[in-house]
Amino acid sequence: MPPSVRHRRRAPALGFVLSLAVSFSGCASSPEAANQASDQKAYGAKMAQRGFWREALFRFERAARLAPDDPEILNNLAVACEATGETARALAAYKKALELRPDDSRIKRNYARFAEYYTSLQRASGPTTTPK
Amino acid sequence: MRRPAAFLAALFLLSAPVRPLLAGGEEVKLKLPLRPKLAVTGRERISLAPFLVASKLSERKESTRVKDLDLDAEFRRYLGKQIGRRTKMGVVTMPSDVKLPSTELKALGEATEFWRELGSRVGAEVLLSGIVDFRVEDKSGYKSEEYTSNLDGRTYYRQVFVESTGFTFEVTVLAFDGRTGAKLYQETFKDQKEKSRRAADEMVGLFENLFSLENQLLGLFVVREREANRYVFD
Repeated sequence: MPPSVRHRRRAPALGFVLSLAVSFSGCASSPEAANQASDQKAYGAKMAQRGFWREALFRFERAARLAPDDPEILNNLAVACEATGETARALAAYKKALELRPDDSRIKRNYARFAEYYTSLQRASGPTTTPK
Repeated sequence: MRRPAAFLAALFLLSAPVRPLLAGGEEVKLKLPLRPKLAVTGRERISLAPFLVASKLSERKESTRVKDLDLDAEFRRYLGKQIGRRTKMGVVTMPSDVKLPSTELKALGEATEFWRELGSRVGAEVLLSGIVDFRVEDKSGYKSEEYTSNLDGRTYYRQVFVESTGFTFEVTVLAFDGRTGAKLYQETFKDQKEKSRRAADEMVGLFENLFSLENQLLGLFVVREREANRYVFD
């Protein structure tokens, strides 16, 4: 078999390997860390569904440490921050998630809803009574 | 040999861009706290000064029952009771001899000296006042109604006269700092209800309006919760 044919055959396989590399590049530094982050994310999501937001936040924080550039984890972290009243952190996490994945309609929708709530909170912090 | 290559190429095309669409997850519910509109600690002493009554300031004709109603006293009694029940604020009784310095809302908001003196007299950190209005209006009129004929089974439209009464309650609340007399906040709340003529009663109408506004009015002083949905990936 001539070398040029061999190269042509290898090209798609190389592409697949590259695509996997691209897939993992936004998640974690190593496949092991990616797996751990994924587990933490899944467990955190379960806790969030049950309304255990402190536990969910803890899990998403751990996941975010393992995979700091995963937009899904950052989105979840933002939601948990929102639920626990850490609005400034939520804003930062949503922004970063959208930077990493600007076309995700679910993150965009979460962010839009959060922005509405955040603005209402800012407006509500009006004048105060004189302290004693 | 070509098939696996094509398959791998397809995987290559699909893997990165489609991955976000295939990711699992679902919507979750969360409760978000809503801060009180008036930035209070929630433990202040509050007193309700008289409210101006819009109908008394205008030439509007009222029915006898509405005329007999002391709207200011009823509103203050109701609001005071709700604040006492649903907040941790202490409601201080307002002396009955207190007279407002003006019958104009704008002037009332600017009467800093009056509110400062009143605040120190009654010992309240927050003072409320404003203007209340309650209107009973005839909303009767012709309305289009669909009906099916018994003769030919076809659907027709007919005009029917519907007798109904509208109740509108509007209140502009002014909140003052009892120590400095400064105006802290101003907001108008409005509720409208319509009842069939037979079920219409002025007092019932007034309290239905007030019940509808209860949460909004208390939202001035207490933290409320709002349910929200967010998408979480798993």
